[in-house]
Amino acid sequence: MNDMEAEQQESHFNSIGTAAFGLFLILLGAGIVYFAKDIRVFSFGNNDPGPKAVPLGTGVILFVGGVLQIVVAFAREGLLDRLRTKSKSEKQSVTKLKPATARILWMLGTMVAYVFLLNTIGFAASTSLFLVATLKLFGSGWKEAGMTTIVIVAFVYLLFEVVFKVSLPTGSLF
Amino acid sequence: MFAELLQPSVLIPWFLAMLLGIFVGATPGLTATMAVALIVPISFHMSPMAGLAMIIGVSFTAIFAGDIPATWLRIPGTPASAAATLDGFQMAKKGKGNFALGLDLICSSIGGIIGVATLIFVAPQLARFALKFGSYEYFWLGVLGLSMSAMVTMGQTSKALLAATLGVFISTVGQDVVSNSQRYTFGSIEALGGLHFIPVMIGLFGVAEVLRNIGQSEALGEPTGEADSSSLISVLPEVLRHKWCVVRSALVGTVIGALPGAGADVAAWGSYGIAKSSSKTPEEFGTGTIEGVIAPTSANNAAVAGAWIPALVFGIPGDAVTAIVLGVMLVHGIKPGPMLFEDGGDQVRSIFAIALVTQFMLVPCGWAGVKAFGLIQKLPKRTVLAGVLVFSTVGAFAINNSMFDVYVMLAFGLIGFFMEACGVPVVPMILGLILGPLVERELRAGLIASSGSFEPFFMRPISMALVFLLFLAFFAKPMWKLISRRLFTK
Amino acid sequence: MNKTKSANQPSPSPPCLRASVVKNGFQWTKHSRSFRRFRSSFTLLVCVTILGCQKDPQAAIDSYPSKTVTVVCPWSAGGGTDRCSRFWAERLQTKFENPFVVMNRTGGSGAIGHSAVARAKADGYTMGMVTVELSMMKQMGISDLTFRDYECLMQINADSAAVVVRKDAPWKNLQELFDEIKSSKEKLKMSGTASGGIWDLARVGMLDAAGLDIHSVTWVPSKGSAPALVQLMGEHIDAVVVSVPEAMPQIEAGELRLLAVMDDQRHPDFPDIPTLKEEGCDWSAVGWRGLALPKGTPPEIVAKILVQCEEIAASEEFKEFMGKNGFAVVIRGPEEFTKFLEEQESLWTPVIDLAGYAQK
Repeated sequence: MNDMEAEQQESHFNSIGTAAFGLFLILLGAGIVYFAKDIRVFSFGNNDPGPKAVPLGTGVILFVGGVLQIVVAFAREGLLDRLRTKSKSEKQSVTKLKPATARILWMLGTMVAYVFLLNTIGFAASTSLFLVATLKLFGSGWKEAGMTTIVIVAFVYLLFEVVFKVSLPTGSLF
Repeated sequence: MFAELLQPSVLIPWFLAMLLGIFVGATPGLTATMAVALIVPISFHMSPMAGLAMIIGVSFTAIFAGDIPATWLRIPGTPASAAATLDGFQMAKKGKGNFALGLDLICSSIGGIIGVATLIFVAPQLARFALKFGSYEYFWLGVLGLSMSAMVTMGQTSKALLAATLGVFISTVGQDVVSNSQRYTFGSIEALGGLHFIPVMIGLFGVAEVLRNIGQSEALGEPTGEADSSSLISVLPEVLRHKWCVVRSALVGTVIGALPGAGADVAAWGSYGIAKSSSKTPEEFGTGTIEGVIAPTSANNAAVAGAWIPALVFGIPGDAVTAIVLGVMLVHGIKPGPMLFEDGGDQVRSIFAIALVTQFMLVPCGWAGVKAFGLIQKLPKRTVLAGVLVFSTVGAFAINNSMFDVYVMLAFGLIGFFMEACGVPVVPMILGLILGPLVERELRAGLIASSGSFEPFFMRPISMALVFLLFLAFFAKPMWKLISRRLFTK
Repeated sequence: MNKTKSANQPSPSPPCLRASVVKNGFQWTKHSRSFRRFRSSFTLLVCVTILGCQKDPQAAIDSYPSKTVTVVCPWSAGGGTDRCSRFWAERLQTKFENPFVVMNRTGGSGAIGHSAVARAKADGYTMGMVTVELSMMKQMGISDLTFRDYECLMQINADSAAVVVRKDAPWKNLQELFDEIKSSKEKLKMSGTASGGIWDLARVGMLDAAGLDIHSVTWVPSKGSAPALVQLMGEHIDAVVVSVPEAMPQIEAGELRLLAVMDDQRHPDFPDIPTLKEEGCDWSAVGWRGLALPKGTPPEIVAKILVQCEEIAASEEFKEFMGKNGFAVVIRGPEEFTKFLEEQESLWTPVIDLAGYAQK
């Protein structure tokens, strides 16, 4: 009995996560089932369940599983209660969460920009920009950021291109 | 023969090659295949003995080396190292990284010795046994592996199973393995190749871990943590205490490795599952237990030796690395075949000797790698995080020289972060991704071969044994509890 | 590397652009104090750059190769095609005294690597090892590439497909196997690749040429030739169709037996094994490999590479390398190779139709 109570408390904490995961699965499952129409099936009468079988199966499981996760979130993990209590203490939690969330979002934005730049201006330039931006975001000084950037870029370049002859992205501009 | 091996002209290039192997294997994006391919042309300029020693040496370093970044940074270098991101990483987080890797290294070496010994003594018999595995048996082996996902994450079974299903779905993207149809490629040629395992894994573990660190920690300018001063000697008592776990995992690893359709990754997860289900404290798995470190690492290095069994007995390589090594042996005039073990002569005996000595040399080489890699713990955390992101990106690119893989890595970094934030375990997804293609291919090939009948899936002897194992894995514990409770109440 | 631009799109050639950037930087630092001087020199620089670029094609041809050349291999490291690619890259590197680097671009039955070559800049700095899959990927709907998207340089190898059975199989020759297929109640099982893979199509072509129903045999899909050989040795299937070198170790070890090769001539290593044609079945299927450049590569550069390739193909080292790996040497120059590829296309297209894989 004690175990179950403990589990319930922990799951209470997770209820928003469970619901979000459920929603994600519902959308994904629906997408999987819908886009299965594009898969070409060859039939030779050789008893092959076909290329659609496994993706469709996983799609249905994910969709149903997603619905169940949401049900669990509301019924067993008390999402409604959580939402109610949250609205009361909202201000507190928001101010607590904000700097971290903002940093993660910044980081993601920088990553996307980096990957985009890799494709256009190549490895050395984009990685230097990315590293300086990231290190500044993490609170380095200019000197530290600059040094680290030079060391990492030079190290990766020497290691991949020179020693192992593995090409790095060159970018389409050059 | 050993005297011939232990000459400096052999020993020095051998040692250097193994150091290179450790270095390459520990760098995300550089793979064992690359290291071996790089050594091959060099080895042809050496004496045959030194050449073979270099190549065999490198092929045995990579799997252990993959555990190093998995333990320190949560970026597994190889699929077989993904299990080290569980207990190894948790142990390192608690400031016992060197201890975890010491254990890992010693057990890798012991696993390798057991694997090579099995290869020397029972290879032909084991290879004949492996031949009995048809589609039906591989299917059940895959299902058994998938069921581990429920086992490695106890307490969150429904989420774990959904994550595994998600992994299976991800593995279906790209060209269908049975009939070449395109699935969910949306017309992109790059997507035809599917979502590669390594970029997905780098994203799910490495990038997600960085994002989480950024979200949590305020002090990014501080060093990640003082590396503990555990030495190799200090882990020996623990290894002795868990000797049966090591031996059992190594034997499981060798047998699974000897199956041409399964590899070191399945071996690592299989023995992790077995260790967990037979442990007295299964609930501690995943929090940094010693057995959780020992089991997968003993198994995956043994599986490398196991993979040589079909390669030497039938000339059939199980993976790319073994294929290259086999190619080199052919060039040196070593013809694989069952006769090799009966009257192979000096050359074969020297291969075995090399493989065996390599396991001992792994210890100093691996420890040098661990120590060198441990230095990054002294750097400020932000430097490490930024470096991880660059290596993740470059590594994802280098696997197949493709920007598509970089996009995949980024997307899965986000998915991994999202899933962990939702409290969904990521490891089952990896299992689904590894085993999904195996299960699907063998199910469909099996049904085609049996003209649609499910009978051989259940009626063949090995299939039956595997179904029984599967049954045990799920019902043994509850049933035992039920029985013992009855006994006690009576 | 360049994945977004198509080969036809005119793009500034890299050495020229890079040179101008360097010059630009140089001028800037030297004359930055006087804006006027900077402007005039900048104008001059632009003129020089444009002139330079216009003159550039000839210069690029003369100076070829002046930077790393990438040799794309559409199959994974360690395989036969990869070994060939690495051999050629290494030889070309010595001949040209310029780095030639192998890049593995795997996936999609070779479609990814083949398209990486076809879509690369046609400046001679990307070449590729193309393989037999190129003759069928368009008809199968895997990609829209054909040999017409390349400057076909030289064929270097052709390995004949073969029908392989276990050493203790009851059939002494191909005719007995065909008789068994005709009379047996239970369908025989064969394997070698995925359904619709090259050896499945070779099997379809063979059965059709022998006048048998193509569905009279069950094709059990496998991941490739190695797993198929394991399945054969484990008695899960009855015969495989693979190329001769793929089954060579097992045949030499006495585990497996060749019934026939699908080629016009007998295999030099197995002079006792008849060809399909000798068995009265007009069908041949070979797995070939060759070198190709993107369409539109300047003919002068193609000629430069070709000269070196011809020397390498004639060298003893090449024959030794192929011999050690068990690959059959078949050399065809550009015209012959193109003609051969046309024949291959007309050989495979009806088989793909017949097997039911044709893209509608």
